[in-house]
Amino acid sequence: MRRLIPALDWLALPARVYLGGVFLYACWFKIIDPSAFALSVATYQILPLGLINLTALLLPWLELVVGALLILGLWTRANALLCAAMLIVFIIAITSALYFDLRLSCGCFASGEAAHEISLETIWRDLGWLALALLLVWRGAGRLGLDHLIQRSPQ
Amino acid sequence: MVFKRMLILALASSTVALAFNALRGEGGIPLIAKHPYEIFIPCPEARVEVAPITPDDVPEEGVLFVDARPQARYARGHIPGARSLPYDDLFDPSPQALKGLLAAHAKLIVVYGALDGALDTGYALAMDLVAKGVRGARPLEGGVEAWAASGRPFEGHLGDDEAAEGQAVSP
Repeated sequence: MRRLIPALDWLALPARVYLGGVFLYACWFKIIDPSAFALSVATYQILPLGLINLTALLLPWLELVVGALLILGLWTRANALLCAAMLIVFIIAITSALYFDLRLSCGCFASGEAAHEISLETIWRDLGWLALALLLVWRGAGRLGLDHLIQRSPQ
Repeated sequence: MVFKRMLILALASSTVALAFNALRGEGGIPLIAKHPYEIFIPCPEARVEVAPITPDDVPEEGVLFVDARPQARYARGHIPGARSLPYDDLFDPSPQALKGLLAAHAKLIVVYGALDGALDTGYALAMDLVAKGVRGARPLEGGVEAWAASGRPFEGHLGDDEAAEGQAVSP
């Protein structure tokens, strides 16, 4: 275990870049076309009407910020925790949709027709990302990141 | 410190999000939707897959034919031995009709219909039947017209009889 933990620190860089990339990719279509994403949010039938548009507007920009800062390795723990929180919300939403047998496209990376239908695989995928996010919450950015540089620089 | 940073990140991204939405004009959306969203989730029944069969591939024996066209057209003419089960896009086939089809123990059930606009009623009924557990149901490709055109047996009149009758009645 003692040998494993430094190895995990080196794993932090690929984990950050990958997870950050996923979130950057995911936010793109949502920012471009907020009305399509709002429809995706509505399809899950979880939020009341008053909150659908607000969610559709705010969520993608949080994804953008979190994705970008994860890649840079700045404020990594806070970003990874936000990332984990979002993934937990997504997992709950997808689970509820599957439970109520809503056959809908997940709205994760594309809207409407182009999107994949949700399934158990969607949940496994998100759980995998959640594990990566929690690893980053636990271990931080690792050596190759702005957090490390800032810590080292004498003030 | 982590929670303070999370709050800062959330507030900063929200500010940018709202500003961007306000500035993009037509492309933006109202913060609160005024009308409920029209959610469209395709019916589970419509998602089964059926394999169409061409008239030439239909074997001579052991086939049960189901006529998805309206009763009146079935009465005018149909494939010998076919049962009439008119397709209705609002109602599923009745349990009695399904039981009757299953009781026939046919390996292959060929469903044929007519083109109703863009909808091939034979195809639609075959999907309904498969969704209801009649697994052997397959739509006849090209409908009954293709059947007759390839020289397979047909009892009675085929084609646009209504138009023909209309002509006969009008002076």
